[in-house]
Amino acid sequence: MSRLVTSDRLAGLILIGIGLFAAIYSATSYRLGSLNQLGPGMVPLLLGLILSGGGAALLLMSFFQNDEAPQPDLRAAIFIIMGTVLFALTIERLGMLVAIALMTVTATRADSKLTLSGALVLSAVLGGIAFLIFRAGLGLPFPIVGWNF
Amino acid sequence: MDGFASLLSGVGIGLATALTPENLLFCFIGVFLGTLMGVLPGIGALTAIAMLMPMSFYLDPATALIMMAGIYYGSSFGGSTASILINVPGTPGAAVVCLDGYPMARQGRAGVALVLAALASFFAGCVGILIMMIFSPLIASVALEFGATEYFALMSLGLIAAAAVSGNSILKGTMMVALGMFASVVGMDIYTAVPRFTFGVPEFFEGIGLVPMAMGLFGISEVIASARTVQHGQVRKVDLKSMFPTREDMSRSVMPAVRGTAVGSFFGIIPGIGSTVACFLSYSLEKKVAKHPERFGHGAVEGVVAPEASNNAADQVSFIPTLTLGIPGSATMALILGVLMIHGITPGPAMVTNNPEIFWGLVMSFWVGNLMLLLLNIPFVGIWVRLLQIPYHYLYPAILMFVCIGVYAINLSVVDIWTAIAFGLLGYVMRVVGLPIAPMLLGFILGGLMEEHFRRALVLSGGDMMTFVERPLSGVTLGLAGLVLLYGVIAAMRRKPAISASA
Repeated sequence: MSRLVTSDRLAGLILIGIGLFAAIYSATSYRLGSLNQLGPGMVPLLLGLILSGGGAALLLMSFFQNDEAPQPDLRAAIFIIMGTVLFALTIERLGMLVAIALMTVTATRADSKLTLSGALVLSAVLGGIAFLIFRAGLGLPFPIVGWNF
Repeated sequence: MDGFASLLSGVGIGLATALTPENLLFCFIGVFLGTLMGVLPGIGALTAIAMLMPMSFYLDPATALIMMAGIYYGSSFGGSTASILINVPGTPGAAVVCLDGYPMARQGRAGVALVLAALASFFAGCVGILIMMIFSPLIASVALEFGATEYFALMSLGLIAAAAVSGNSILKGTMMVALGMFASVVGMDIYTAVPRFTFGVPEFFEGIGLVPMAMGLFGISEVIASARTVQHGQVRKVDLKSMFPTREDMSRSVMPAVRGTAVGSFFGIIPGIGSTVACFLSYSLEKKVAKHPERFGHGAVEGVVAPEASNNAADQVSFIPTLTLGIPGSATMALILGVLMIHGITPGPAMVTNNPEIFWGLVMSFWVGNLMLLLLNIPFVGIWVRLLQIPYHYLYPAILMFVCIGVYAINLSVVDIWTAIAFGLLGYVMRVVGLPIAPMLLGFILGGLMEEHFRRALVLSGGDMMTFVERPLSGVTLGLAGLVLLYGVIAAMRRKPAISASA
C-alpha cells in the first residue's frame, strides 16, 4: 500500500466514469422500452452499468493487491498527438505536403535522435512517398499545397 | 459423395477467382506488404492490417479480402523472422519462437532456423487450408439453422473467451469488450432511427468509423508507446551458405512440424484462444516428448519448428469461425471481418452459399499466398534482414503519415482524423493503466450485431429472457461462457499479492 495512484485504481476510476456517463445519459435521454420491444436506451444503459460495476470491482480489488504506478511517456504522447493535431488542422487548408512536414517535424521531437534538418529531409521523403502512393497511385483528390482559408 | 462434389465445385469457383491476374497481383502485394510490416520493428500484424485497411476500399470484396488475408499471414511470418534474428517478438506467439530461434541465430544458424521455419509454416498452412476447405461448408450448413438467440450466445462466448486470454485479468478484458460495445452504440439506432450519443455531429450518425478507430487504437497509440522504447536490431550477418539445413536438422524437424500443426489446427478453431495458446502448448509438448529436453532454450530446432507450424496452422484455421459464423477469434480477424462488412457483406453461413466466389476465392488464394510467402522469404532473406536495421525514429513518422492520410482518404473527412486522434489518446491512456485494447476492437465490431440479435431474440420470444437459456444450443453456449468467466474470476481472486508484484 505504498502508492496512492496505481494503474488498477486509475483504470477502475476511468471505467466507472465512462460507465456512469453511459448509464445516466441513456436512462435520461433515450426511451428504454419494454422487454419484448427494447428501446434505444436499454443496451447502452446495461453496458454502462456493466462498465461502472466492473470498474468498481477493479477499484476495490486494487486495495488488496500490489500494483504498479502508471508510467506514461508524456513527452512522446504530447509531441505525437500534437503532430497529428497539426496534420488535421492543416491538411485541407495548406495541403498535404505542408501537413506532412508539420507533423513529421513535431512528432520527431518526441525523441532526440533526429535533428531539425534531419526531420526536414525525412518530411520531404515522406511527402514524396505520399504523393506517389495517394495522388499518383490512387488518384485521391486532395490538395498537394494550398492556401484555403 | 454430395459433399465431395460440392467441395470440387467450390475448388473450381475458388481457383477461377484466385487465379485472375488482378487477384494474383493483390495477393502478392498483400503477402509482400505483410512480410515487410512484420519484419519492420515495432509494427505487428494488427497495426499492419489497420494501416493498410483503407487501401482495400478501392478493390472489389474478393480482391480486398485476398489482400487483407495476405497481409495477415505475411505479417505473422515476417514477425517470426524478426524474432529469430533479433530476439524482439512482435506478438506473444512469436515470443515462443524466440526461445530457441534466437540462440540458433547466435550460433550462426539463423539461416537454418529461418528456412526450417518457412518450410514448417508452409506445411502447416497447407494442412490448415485443407481443414478449412473440409469443415467450413459443414459448419456453415449447420449454422444456417441458427437464430438470433444462438448468435447472441455464440458471440458472447467468443467475446468472453477473447477477453480471458487478452491480458493478465479477465475482468479488464471483459470491461474493454464492454467499452468497445458501447462505442458501437454511437450512431442511428437500427430499430427506432434515434441517433444515439452523436451529440449533433452529423458524421457520427452512421456510427464511429472502424478505420479511424483501429488506426487510432493500434496506429497512433502504438507509436506513442514505442517511440522511445523500440530499439532497432543488432543483426548478425546471415550468409547464404549457412542456410541449408543438415540432414539431421531435417529429420529432427519432421515430427515437431506435424505435432505443431495438429496442436495449431485444434486450438485455432476455438474463438478467442487462437494461435498464442497453440504456440505455447506446442512448445511445451515438444519439450515433454524430447529425449533431451535440456537442449531447449539453447537452440533446439524442434523449439523453432513446432511453434512456428502451430502458429501458421492456427492462423489459417481461425478463418473458419470468422467466415462461417461471423465470429472473429482475435482482433486481427475482427478487422478482416470489418473489411467484409464495409464492403456490405455480412459474414456468416449465408456467405459460403451466397458469395461462393468470395469464400472459395479466399481459400484458394491461401495456397497461392503461402507459396508466394515461401518464394519471397527464402531467397530474399538478406533484404528482410537489412530492413530490420531501419531505426524506429525514421519509421514512426512514416507510420503516422500513413495513418493520417489513410484515415483522411476514406471520406476526405477531417472528422475522421479527429476520431483517430481521440482513439489514439484513449488507447494510450488505456495502455498506461494496463487495460488491454485488442478486446475493445472485438467488442466494437461485434457490438452492433450482438445488440441486434439480442433485441430480435427478445422480440421473437415475446420478451422472455429465458429464451437464451431454454434453447439448447444457446443455453449450453452461454453456460460455457459463464464457466470461462467464473474461472477467470476465481483465478483473479487467488492471485496472491506476492505473485502479482513479481510478475
